[in-house]
Amino acid sequence: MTFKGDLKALILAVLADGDLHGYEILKQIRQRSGQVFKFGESKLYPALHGLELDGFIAAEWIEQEGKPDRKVYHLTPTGQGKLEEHRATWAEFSAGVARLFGPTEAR
Amino acid sequence: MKHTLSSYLEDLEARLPLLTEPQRVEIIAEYRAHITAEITAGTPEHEVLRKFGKPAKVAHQFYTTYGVYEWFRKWQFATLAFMAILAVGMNWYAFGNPAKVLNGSIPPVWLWNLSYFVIGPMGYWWFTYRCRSQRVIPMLITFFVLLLGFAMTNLPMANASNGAANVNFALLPKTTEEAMSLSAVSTPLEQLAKAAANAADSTQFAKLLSSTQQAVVDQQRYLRFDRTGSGTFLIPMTESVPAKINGATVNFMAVRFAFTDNSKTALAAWKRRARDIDSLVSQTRPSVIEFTTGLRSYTIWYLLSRSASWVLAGQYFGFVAGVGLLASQLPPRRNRRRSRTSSA
Repeated sequence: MTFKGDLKALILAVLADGDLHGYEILKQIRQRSGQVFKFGESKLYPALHGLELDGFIAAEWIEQEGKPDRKVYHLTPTGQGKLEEHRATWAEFSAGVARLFGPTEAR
Repeated sequence: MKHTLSSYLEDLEARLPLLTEPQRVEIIAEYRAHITAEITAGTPEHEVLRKFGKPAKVAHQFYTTYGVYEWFRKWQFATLAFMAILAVGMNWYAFGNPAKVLNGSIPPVWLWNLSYFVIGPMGYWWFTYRCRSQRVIPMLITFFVLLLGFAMTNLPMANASNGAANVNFALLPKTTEEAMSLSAVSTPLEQLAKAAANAADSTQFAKLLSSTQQAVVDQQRYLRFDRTGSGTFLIPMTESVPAKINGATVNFMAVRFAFTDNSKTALAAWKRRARDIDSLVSQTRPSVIEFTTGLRSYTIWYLLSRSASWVLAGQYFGFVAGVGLLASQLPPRRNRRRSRTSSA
C-alpha cells in the first residue's frame, strides 16, 4: 500500500522552519523524509507558484555575488493556518491508520 | 535534442503557457538558479537537465497553475461537447436540418460554422498537447482554419461579376429554382428573381423592378447599389414569416447582381428608388449590417433575421477572440530586460 504525498503540504511544512529557495526546499523534503519523497524538479516550481498564487507563501528575490539571484520563499499567516489544517488532517488520518494497523491488543 | 543550460531555458521559456512576461522571466530565473546550484554542487549539467525532464514536460506542469488552456485540457470533452452542441444548435436553428447539407439541399454553411466552434479549438489542442510542437505551428494552423471559415462564410457574397447580369444566390439557395421555391416569396419577387437571372441588360431588369416596386416595398424587400453600379437585392425575412427552402427554414437570402449597361440615368433613377426603399425599410427594419471585405470594392449587405444575426455575431466574436488568443500565444521576445520585482 502506498500513500500519495501532497507536495504542497510538504512544502508548507519545510517552510515552517525557515525561508528557503526552491533547490533547498527540494533537498529538505528529501532529507527530512529520509528519501521517502523524491519529487521531480519539474513538479516543484509549479507547486510553489500555485501556493504563491493562493497566498499561502510569499517570496522575494535575493541577489547573490557571482551567482544567479535566488527567489526565497516564506510562509504567510494564511499559509501557517493552512499548514495547521494539514497537520490536523494528517494527525487524524494517521491515528486512524495506526489504530487499524496496530497490534490487536492495543485496540 | 541535446540541450545546454541556456538552450534548455530558452526552449522552456518558449513553451511556458499563457504567462505574462515578468512571470516567464521569473520562472526561468528560478530554474537557472536551481540548475546552477546543482551544477555547483557537483552534478553534471546534462544530468541535472535530464532530471528536470524535457522542456515540454516541465512547461506542461505550469498549465495547472497558469494556463487558460489547462481548464480546456482538464475539461476538454465537456468543452468540445458544449461547443459542438452550441454550434449544432445555432446552425440548426438558423439554417435547418443538417441532413439538408448532406443531400445538397442547402450549401454547407453548417460546416463553415463548425470550423469556428470545433475545428479551431480541437486543432489547437491536438497540435499543442498531442504533437507537443512549437506553438507557432498550431497557431498558424488555427489561424488559417479561422481565416478559411471566415472567408468561406463571407466572400461568396462578393462574387458578383460585372459581366452579364448575374444572380448569385451565394448564401443559401443554390439555383434560381431553389430561390423561387421560397414559400414566403410572392409573385412579384418570383418575377424579379427570374428576370434578374435571365435579364439581358439592366433595362429589362429596371422595367420589371419598376412594375413591382410597390409590392417590393410592401413586403420589405430591399435594393442597394454600390459604387460599381452593381447591387444587392436583399430579402429580409421577418421572424413571423420564415422562408422555406425544400421544407427547411431559411432566415435570410441575398441576390446579387451586376449590370451590363451602367446607364447613369437609369442608375440615378434606381438609386432614388433605392433611397426611398431604404428610408422606408430603415424605419421598420434597422438590422442591416454593412460589411466591406477590403479585398474587392464590393459592399456586402446582410439583412438577417435575429437567429442568423446570432450566428454571424458568434462568427465574428470567434474570429476576433481566436486571433486575440493566438496573438497572446506568441513566443516571448528574446533579449528583453529582466524584471526583478518581488511577487510576494
